[in-house]
Amino acid sequence: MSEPVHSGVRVPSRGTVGGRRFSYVLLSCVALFALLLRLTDHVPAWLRGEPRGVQRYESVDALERDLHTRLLVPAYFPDVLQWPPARVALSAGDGQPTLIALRDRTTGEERVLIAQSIRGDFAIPSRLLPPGEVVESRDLDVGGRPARLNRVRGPDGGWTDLSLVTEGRRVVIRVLGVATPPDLLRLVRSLHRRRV
Amino acid sequence: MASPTDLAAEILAHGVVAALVVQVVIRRVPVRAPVARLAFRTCVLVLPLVLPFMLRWLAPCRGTEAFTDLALFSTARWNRLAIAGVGLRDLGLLVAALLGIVLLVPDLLHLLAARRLDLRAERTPLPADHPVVTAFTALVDDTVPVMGAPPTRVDIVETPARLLHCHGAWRPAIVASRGVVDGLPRDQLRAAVVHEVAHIARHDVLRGWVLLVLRLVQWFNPVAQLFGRRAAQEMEWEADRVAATVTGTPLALARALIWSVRGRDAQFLGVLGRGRASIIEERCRRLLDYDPDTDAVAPRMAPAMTGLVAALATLLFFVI
Repeated sequence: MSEPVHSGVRVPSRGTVGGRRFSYVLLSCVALFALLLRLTDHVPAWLRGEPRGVQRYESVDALERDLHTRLLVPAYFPDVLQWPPARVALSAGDGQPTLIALRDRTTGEERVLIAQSIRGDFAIPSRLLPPGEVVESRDLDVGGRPARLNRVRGPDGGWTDLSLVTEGRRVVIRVLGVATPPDLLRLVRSLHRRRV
Repeated sequence: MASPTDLAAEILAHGVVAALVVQVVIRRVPVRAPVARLAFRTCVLVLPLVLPFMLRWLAPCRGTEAFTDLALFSTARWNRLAIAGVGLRDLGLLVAALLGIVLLVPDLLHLLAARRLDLRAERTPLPADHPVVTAFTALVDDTVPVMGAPPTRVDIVETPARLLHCHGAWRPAIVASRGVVDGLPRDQLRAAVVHEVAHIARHDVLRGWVLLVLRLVQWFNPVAQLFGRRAAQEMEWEADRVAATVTGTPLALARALIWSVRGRDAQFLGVLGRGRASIIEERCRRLLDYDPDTDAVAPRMAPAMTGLVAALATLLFFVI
């Protein structure tokens, strides 16, 4: 800035710092703080022994080895579904929420998602099961356990969620596309801890 | 819908990050001109109050879990760590709020004391034809047009205490005590008056009120309190710089400053008193080291401020 500060009085011209130097320092600072913030953000997850966001696993075995537990998987397995799962994931969140995504054998697209919180009855985070608009809701009894069946409309089409607590875990089974409740119920009733 | 605690935590996080970035930029560039530093520090006080609300409105996606994974820093993540059942983030917010209050309250008390003095001066001024008033008014009237300041009222309080300051955001006035007008040598009194008129010319009283409002709104943010204090100091340093430049005798102002605090019982005020004495020491040191060239080094303000705000807004977009 070269103008005098006050009219009538000659105040010496201000020296200037090069715009390039200012930009360089500013951008370096922003980059440095972005890095530091990101590193700091890993600390809570690291202290809790969970991933910061969603951690993908190669297989159900790998996830089970990490969590030192067995996942609930259905014994009833319709022919249309493909094994091994297309996606196995562990998410940040209370109760160590996990997800197994199964593909449709014919279309190759994900058809069934099985989400469960390993340590207690905790809500499944939306990073694993994106939310949608519930268009129909019904309470059911699944083997003496209360369950809720929701028909949901989402941005990419509809799905059916069946949510219940079994073996001390919150389990949500999501069938993408059209689902027949009897099939879904058979799937849920057959949930058991996988044996190798 | 975010809770008030979430919002307060985000404002605090934005304030801390913005303050750290600005402080490093000021030191590393370096930016020496108080007026430029004042603008940068004000930016740190304003951005955390604007951005969280604006971004919530413009980018609601920032509230989703998917964005939490993308974000650089999430305050909510720290709340999942708990001490005695209280989330670490909420605990940090509580400690920050206590610190903020500790930093804000003494300044408010100081301001109230100054306001009481101003009211007393307005109620019981020396008569306008009193020789002390006439002489001091003439000195102020000589200085005001030279500095490009608006017409300024003069109030003189009948007290031996050493008081001289300006007040009035819209109708500026200089309040002086009889002790200052009688006790200071002519050159030192002129330097002190130029300093006060520089404040008036730069609308520093209004700026001071704006800073106070920003601090009050962020009472729970100790960084905002520190930056608000520092911004007020920058205004003093700028007024000192202008006074030193206009009078050409920085030493006169330094002597006047030392005289104004000499004999005051800083011990009585404890840490607060020592803090005020060290502020005066710093101002004197800057006046003694005064260099018209280096003391005014700053980047070109319009592009610098635009760049700073854009860079901080981008960084803080990812801090939730």
